[in-house]
Order: sequence, then C-alpha cells, then structure tokens
Amino acid sequence: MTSLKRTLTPGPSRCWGEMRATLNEVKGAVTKAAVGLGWPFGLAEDIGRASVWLLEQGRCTLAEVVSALEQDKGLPYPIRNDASWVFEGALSLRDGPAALDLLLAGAQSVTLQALDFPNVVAGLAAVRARDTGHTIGLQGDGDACGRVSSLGFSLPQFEVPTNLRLCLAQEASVEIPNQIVRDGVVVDLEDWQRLQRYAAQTYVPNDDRSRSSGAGAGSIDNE
Amino acid sequence: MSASVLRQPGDLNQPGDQFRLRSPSAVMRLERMGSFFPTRLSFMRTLLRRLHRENAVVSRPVWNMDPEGYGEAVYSVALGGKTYSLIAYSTMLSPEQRSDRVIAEAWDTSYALFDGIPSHADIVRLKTEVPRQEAGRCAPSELVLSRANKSVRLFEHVADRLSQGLQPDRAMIGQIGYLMRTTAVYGNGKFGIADRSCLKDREGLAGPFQAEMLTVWLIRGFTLDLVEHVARERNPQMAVPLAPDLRHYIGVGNSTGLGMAPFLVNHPLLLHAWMGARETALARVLAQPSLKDAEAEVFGALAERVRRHLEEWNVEDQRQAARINILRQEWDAVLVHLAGGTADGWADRAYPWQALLDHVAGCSVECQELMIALILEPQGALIDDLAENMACEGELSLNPAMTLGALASVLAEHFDWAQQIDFDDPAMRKQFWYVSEEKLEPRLGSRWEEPGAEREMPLDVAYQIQALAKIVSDEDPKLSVAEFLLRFPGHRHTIKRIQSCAEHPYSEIQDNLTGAACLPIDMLRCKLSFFGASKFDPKSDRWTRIALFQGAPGLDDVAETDPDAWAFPVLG
Repeated sequence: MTSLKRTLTPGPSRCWGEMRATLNEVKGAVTKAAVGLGWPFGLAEDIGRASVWLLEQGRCTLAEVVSALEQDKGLPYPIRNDASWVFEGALSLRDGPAALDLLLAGAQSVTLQALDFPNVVAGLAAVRARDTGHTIGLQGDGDACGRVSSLGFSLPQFEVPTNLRLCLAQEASVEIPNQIVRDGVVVDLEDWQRLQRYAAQTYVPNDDRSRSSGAGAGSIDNE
Repeated sequence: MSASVLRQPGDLNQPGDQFRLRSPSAVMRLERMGSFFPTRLSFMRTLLRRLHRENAVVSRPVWNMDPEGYGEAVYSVALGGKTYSLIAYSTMLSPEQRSDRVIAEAWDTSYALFDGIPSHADIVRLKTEVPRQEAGRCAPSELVLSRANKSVRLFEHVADRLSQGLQPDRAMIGQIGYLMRTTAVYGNGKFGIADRSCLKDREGLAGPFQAEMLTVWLIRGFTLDLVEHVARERNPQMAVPLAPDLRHYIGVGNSTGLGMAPFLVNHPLLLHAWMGARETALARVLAQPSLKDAEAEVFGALAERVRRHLEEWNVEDQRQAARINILRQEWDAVLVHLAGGTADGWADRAYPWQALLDHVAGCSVECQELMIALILEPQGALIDDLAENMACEGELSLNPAMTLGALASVLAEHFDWAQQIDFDDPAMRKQFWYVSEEKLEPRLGSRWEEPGAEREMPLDVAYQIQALAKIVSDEDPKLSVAEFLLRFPGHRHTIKRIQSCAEHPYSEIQDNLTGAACLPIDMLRCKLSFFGASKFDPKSDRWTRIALFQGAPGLDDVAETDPDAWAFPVLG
C-alpha cells in the first residue's frame, strides 16, 4: 500500500501541466490502457465507464485510476461464509467488480478489506447502479457510510486504505445529483501520457506489409 | 430469407396490424447486410426532412477565398432552435500528400461544425487546429471535425468548363458524382470536440449521426460554391454557374475503410436500434392489406427510376460489377412484373407489398434488399416515426445473478450460429482485426502470416462465444454468473453480449468475423446504408467509396424542395 500512497502524492512532473479531455476520450483511453495492461476486455469496459463517472463527479483524480490499473490483475480470492464474502487485501479493480457482481447476485454481505482505492470502487458501483437501477450502499471505516444510485451519490471522503462493506440500500435518496459535465474534465498531462503509453500496448507495430495491405487501400488518391 | 417468416401475423403492438419481424438469423448475416440500400429511415433523410420542416435557411456570413480557392468560409443554419455553423478551410495540397487513408497528414479542405456562430477569434483559433485534424486540439464548441480531398479530375474539369462559360461533361459528372470526398467525419468527443452527451437532448441533433450528417450536407454546399468561385476568378467575364440540375445531382463523396466495421461490433445495442427500426418498418408495410389510391403509380415511377439509377451505377470492382449486372437483369424483370400492376396483377392482390417481396424471393439478396428499400419509400406516414427511436445511449451491462443454466439456454436459443463454426479449421481464424500504431489506423491481418495477433481487437465474437459455451457446459448450471466470473473473468465481455442479445435480437452479426471468407466491405455497406449512402464503389474487400446527398436538396432550396423525392438519384 505504501507504493500506492506514493503515487497519490503530487510530484515534480505536475509542473508539466494539465489538459482538458472529453469524457469519451477518458473512457477510450482508460479502456485501452486497461487492455494494454492486461485487464480482460469486459473489465476494461467497466473501468472505462467508472473513470468517466469518477472524473465527472470529481471523486478522484486520473492518477488514482492509473495507479489502480497498475495493480495486480490476478484472480480474486474472496473468503465465503454462507452468503457473505470477504476480500482481504482488496484491490479496487481486481476485486471491486467481483464484489459488486456478488452483491447484485444476491450476497447478503460483501466486504473489501484494506482496499487500495475505495473511490474507484465507488465509481464502479455508480456504473452498476445506473445499469441496474439499484442503490448501492458503501459502508466505510467508522461511521463513514454512503450510497450511489443512478441519480447521484452520498459519499464520505474515504481514507486510503480502508475497509468497505457493500450492500443494496433501501434508502434511494442521495445528497448530490450526478453532475453532467459539458466541457470535459481537466487531467494531469503526465497521468494522461501514462495512460497513452499503456494504451499503445494494444497497437500493432507498423511495417510495409501492414501499411500496404492491412487497410485495403493505396496510399495516394489523386484521381 | 424465407417469405413464410414474413407472412405470419406478428405480435408487435404499434401501430395496428403488423407481420412478424424477420428473423435475426436471416437478417444479421453479412451477405444480407452487405446488400443493403439506403431507405427513408436513413440518417441523411431524417436530417433533410427536419431541415425542410423547419424552413431552414442557410447563410454564408464569411467567404474569404483567394482566386485559387484557398481561404476560409462559414455557413450557418438554424436547426431545432439553435444555430450551427460549418467553418471550412481550403488549403493547397501537393499531389504526393493527397491520400484518403487515415495515415494522411494534410488535406485539400478541413472543417469543423461549430456550436453557434463563430467569432473572428474562433475562426483564427481553429485555423491552426482544424487543418491538422487528429494532430490538432479542438474545444467543446466544436461538434464535428472533418476533412475532404478533391476529386482532382472532376473538380478541375468543372472549374475549367464553367470558367469558359460551358457546363461540365454530364457523363463525367455521372461517373464520379462528387467534387470532393470526405475521408473522416469525427464526432463524440474526438480530439477535444463536444461529447455526444452534449447533443443527445438537442432538438434536431439527438438522432444518430445527425450532427455528422449536417456537417457533410454543408460541406457539399461548400464544394459547389468553391468550384464556382474558382471558375469565376479564372474568367470573370465568361464564367457561368453550374446548371441547376447538375448542382442538385452532385453529392459529396466519402472514402471509408475498416474503422466502420468495429463500430458495428462495439455498439451492439445501437446496431439493434437501427436494424430493429428498419425491420419494424418493413413489417408495418408488409402488413398493409391493400394499396392506397395512386400508390401503384407512384411505386411504378420509383421502380423505373431505380432502373435508371442502376444503369448509372458503374464500378471497377469485379465482384460488385457482377452483382450490379445481375441486379439490372433482375430489376428489368421486376419492371415487367409491375407493368401488369393494375390489371389483376400485384397491386390487386391481398397484401400487395408482401406479394412483391415474394416475387423477388428467388432473386439475388441485393435485389431483395433493393425491393425492401423501395417498398418503404412511399410509406412515410406509416414508418417515419421509427426514425425517432434509432438513437441508443445504453451500454452492455452484466446480470451477475443469472445462473449458468439460464446462460446456456440463451446460448442455445440465440447463438447456435456461433457454435456451428469449426474453429479447428485454420481458415475460420485466418484474419485478425487490429489497430496499427501508424496513426491508429484500423487494419486486418493474416493471423498465420503476420505478427500482432496477440493484440487483436475483440471482434472474434463467435470464437469467444464458442469458447465460453464449452466451459459453461462443464460447470454447475446452478452457479451464478458472479461466481463463475471469479474464476473466469476473461469471459465478462462475452457474457454481457450474450445476456444483452436476448432482449436485443438484432445486436449481433451472425457470422464469423475472423474467417477467411469474411468480407469487411459488407459491414461497411451496412453502416453506410444507414447513413443514406448510395453508389457503393468498393476499392477492395475492406475499402469503399460512396456518394452522400447525391440528388438531395441543396443549401439554397431545402425549405422549398420535397425532402423525400431524391431516393435513387439519377442524372437523367
């Protein structure tokens, strides 16, 4: 977890500047970067959508998303006790989607322990809430408790790392309606370039054969 | 496609009687999708109907062109209560730079559709960004980014003839059909422009690709103005404008490559919305028990125009040329059949539209689809409302509570086609789709001969479905998808597709997209037909040129001209 915290600390590269990215660019870049890093495509799609929500609602920075992407991509190994599931040493992108799956499949209790990026899980939950119409509760350490729905969210500022218990909430109301961003979101240029480097791992190197026959068209059109 | 499927009374609810929709297993095949023609539900048609309804007036507040036709122009039009402007930049381009490929880095002309009326500062700002296209950076005030290259031969010919006070050669106009070809039309947040979410609630632009179609329609007007400008500057005393019928006929071209194909696969719910609307329209028309007054006459005139349209549709591609030849012969036979229409012929039969479709059931698939496009044509009152429901903002989602037993049932019901493919045969996996590092151009490779297959795009849908089905068959059917994915997270995307297909039956192309026999051109034609493209002119199995807005009302007469009278345009 130490290394995760370090990535959240603004470093000298921040002076490289910022850029405004559209939501579609965020979704596309995060999804491609996730695939480039080895995440399964179906998970990468969820991560891309969650990233849009997170940045649109100002719940976390792109740096947190990229750092979450860089974590272990192995299989989740939750401990099951009847209808309750516990993910120990939880990683937001490896275990978050699985935890939400289990919750939406009827698990009574799902807990992510020592979770690296709880806000990222909140983003994943927001997307699932929008897809399903459910309100998903997120019970953090101590009294920290929140929920996300298709309409908006009520979320505390989570500490890192934290324990997070997921539940289907009866209470549907939320304090903050989902913000609709029209002008894109501002992202750190260094974080953006990190994403692009990972996305580039999905591109196939160019060569003469690829260039001449891969697209089925010649290079010059002067007729 | 069996006609019997079409003849059964349907179970749809709106409006009134309908026949059953055609089966996805018949419709969602590459051979059929690659035979589509534009219909009155196509996006260009939807746009022009709205512009006509709103009495749209296009102004040209900026025309700053030098005698060679280089400079900038602005066209503005109100739509749905808002004003949109095309900002056009025309620049000199050397012949060795003129490429329709994504890998090009300079173009004859470049464009942005601006949200509102641009200030001088906007025009100056965009002058440094828009001509650079992918390398530039736009803002949310820009809704669409595009570029076009001249058809050098025709542009120069038209400019030359007009400058001499003569009209251009009609045969050459008919052969080429456009002065410029767009080579990309970007929307939805690309390179900094506005996200699609900014448009989805806007009157007039909420439908699919309406902002893009508006852009291309304005580009068409610009190309016509530009060629007349160049002619006038060459010879102010002698130059004449284009004859009205030629101005009406000339469209705007488009060069399209593989990028369109992944779009259809990556947007299954949108594909369902398009195909579902089209198939519902067909079902509604086929359910009409008799012809209304004068319908036979109107339809007969349309059918004759189609014959002339086919005569004017000439391509070099051998496969398509052979198809067109067959189609011409078949259509001549159709016309003979129609000639008996009022004398106890097709028009007097019960369910006459169904009878017409039955008549071509033994013809080529292209002829069947042409007939479908044509019988939809006179039915605006019956089907145009369907165009309002062709947008789809939803995305694939997972139902983790579904049991594997239920998933297996969906697989059996909807994906038998995928499980019939023999993937042990290397030919079935011969091709792979990828994105090249060279300007991110989508390409197709040979899996057994070229490097890069480990980075293929997930278009191998059938293969993935089959792989999943094999695993699921060995698992406890009571297991939930959620628990299954703990061990097999790699199948998450495929399960989403399968689950969604149960409610969106037209969402999946039911063919092997990696097989040696797969022709990407079929996917391109399907998507382009929904745009409203005509005169498909394949340059290979993965690249085509088309004409857009050919024969359509222009910038100066859209308010007065029938917006639906230009299907299957002919030069005459």
